[in-house]
Amino acid sequence: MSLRRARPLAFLAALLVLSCTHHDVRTTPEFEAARAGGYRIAVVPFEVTAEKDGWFVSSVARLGNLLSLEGGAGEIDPEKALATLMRRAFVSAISQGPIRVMELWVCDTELTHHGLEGKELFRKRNALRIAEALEVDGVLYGEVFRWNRHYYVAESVQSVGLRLELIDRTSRRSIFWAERIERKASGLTGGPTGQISVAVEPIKGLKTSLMEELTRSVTRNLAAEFTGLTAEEMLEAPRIEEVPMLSFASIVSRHAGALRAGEQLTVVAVGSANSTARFDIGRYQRGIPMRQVAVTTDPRGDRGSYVGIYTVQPGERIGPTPIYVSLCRRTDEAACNVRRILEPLVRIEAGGPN
Amino acid sequence: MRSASFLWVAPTLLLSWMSGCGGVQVQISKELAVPSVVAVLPMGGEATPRELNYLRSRVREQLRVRYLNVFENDYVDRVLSERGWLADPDRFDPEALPVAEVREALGVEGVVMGHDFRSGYWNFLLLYRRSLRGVVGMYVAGGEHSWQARHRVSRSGGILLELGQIFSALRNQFQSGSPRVFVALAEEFVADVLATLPELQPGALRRSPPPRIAEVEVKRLPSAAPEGRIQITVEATPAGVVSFDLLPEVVNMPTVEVAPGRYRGIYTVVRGDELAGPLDVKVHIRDPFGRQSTETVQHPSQVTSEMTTPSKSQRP
Repeated sequence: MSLRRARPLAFLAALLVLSCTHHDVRTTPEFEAARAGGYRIAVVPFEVTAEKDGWFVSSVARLGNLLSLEGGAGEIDPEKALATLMRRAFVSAISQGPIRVMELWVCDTELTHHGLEGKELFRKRNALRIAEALEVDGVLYGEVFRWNRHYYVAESVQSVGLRLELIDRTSRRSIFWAERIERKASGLTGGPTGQISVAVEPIKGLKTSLMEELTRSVTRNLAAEFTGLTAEEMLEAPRIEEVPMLSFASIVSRHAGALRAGEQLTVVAVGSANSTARFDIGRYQRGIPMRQVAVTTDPRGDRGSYVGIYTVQPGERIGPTPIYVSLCRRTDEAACNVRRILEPLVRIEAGGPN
Repeated sequence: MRSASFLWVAPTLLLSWMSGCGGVQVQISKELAVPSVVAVLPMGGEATPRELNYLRSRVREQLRVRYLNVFENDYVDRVLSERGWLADPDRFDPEALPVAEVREALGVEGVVMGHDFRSGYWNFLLLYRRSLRGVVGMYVAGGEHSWQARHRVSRSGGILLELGQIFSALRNQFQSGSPRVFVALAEEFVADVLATLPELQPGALRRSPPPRIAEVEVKRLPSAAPEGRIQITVEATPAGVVSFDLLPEVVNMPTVEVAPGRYRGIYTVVRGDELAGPLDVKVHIRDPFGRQSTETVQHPSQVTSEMTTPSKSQRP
């Protein structure tokens, strides 16, 4: 192949590389143990190390101008606005996960009280001091290292990059490190269908709304790595092939009518053996454990029978409310099959206000 | 010729309109004092229960990062259920709630409520559209809304709309129906809407002490059934949610607050439960904001039917 022919191909290859997503995650066994439950972290203010240019400032201004409607606050520091936006987006995305996150206002107030502010917050050598001051198990650092737009006439690329690191208080080392760059490319790599689109699409690809999408996408995807939850799991809609089978669920009633104090609500279910079974009384009491009382061998898969009992206390009064039964994989508590028992609806009348 | 031009212009205008509609419509009361403690009520509308739950959790988490103290959604649901306002979660209409009474029952300065949520999706091979719209409002003392935002977000595309970027169009069309797209739309909706809510400064917030467990009592109840029942009574911070763990497979067994600061729950032993030897009972309390404490009590002896003397908690 001659150099003349190779040059456009090389250019196209470079654009393809530029338009790809870069993603790197490193974890330690301590992080998996932390994710198993009970771990508490503080997320310190993010640092912005992205190259600053005209596009950077104007794009942040568009995103940050609604931080307060009070007005009269003067000019917003674009760097601080960007760091705040990314930090908030990430913290709100991981709050549904198994690792508990200190509220940002508590974190910021306590850091100020302990004299930790400014650039000292970005220095990882202060991680232990911060963890002890805030009484948390780990400190999470964030760095916005990419926030740029580039225009190459036949192609434009917008990119957002975020780097995260979690320092553990006990082991005194990094137990989670992740870096992600997402790019939105418009022009040649998008598959233009004509000369006009070759010229127009790169310009359309410079719109600020794409930066907003990239920001949310980067934080969302890194949050998924941090929490171990997929979009489907966050929506409580895991794929059917990933959840245990729940073939039967019912309420065992000794009598019709409302349950009184001292009486028991018994729920039974049949499904995949050796799963975690629970039931909910509407939204009143949730996650009541059910015990596996029998296992039946079956060529299609072992079947477990589960029983859960709730004893009514004096003063309770709710309903009519449905019962929901869930069967989850023991190795993945987010992979659950949930069924609503259609009939009967449960009423509890053991005295008390309503 | 004229009719042919119209056939091209009309769809183009329609597609432009579809992709261009959006923007948050906000109403803010002039006297709005942003509350520091709020609760997010269950959402309503034609979207699926899963989608409404997800929207609600996103609203809560995004309010928390905006310097507000926000009650846990599970705690809010429990109070609503106890008061008879939330019987069937799948048929709940937030607009039917007596907002002022709800706010008082929860003991918060404001409640955030969402309604009229609709999630739409259609895919006609050359064209697709996925949308989400709804209304979110905040209600403070007096019951009138102090802030309300109406918004619609959407993703439109397809080869017909993205004729100049055919690779991108095909990729987007293929992914348009996935849960990821709904999650992205929901995040965009909540972020846009809450960006119009004025913010508190961190110094304006106060925090009550974390919940504490003072005493735990474990005893066996007389029962006609051979397996028997175990009663746990806990003295702890009032207005919390207390649960206990008895066995590795019996976790988060609920209790009821039978008197202010006194919680009681009963576990019925079933076939296969092994309760021989000292019993470790772990008790958890969560306050309305989700802060939690745990106490572990070791019952000194085997729980048998002859046991009648209750044992007190022993701090490790």
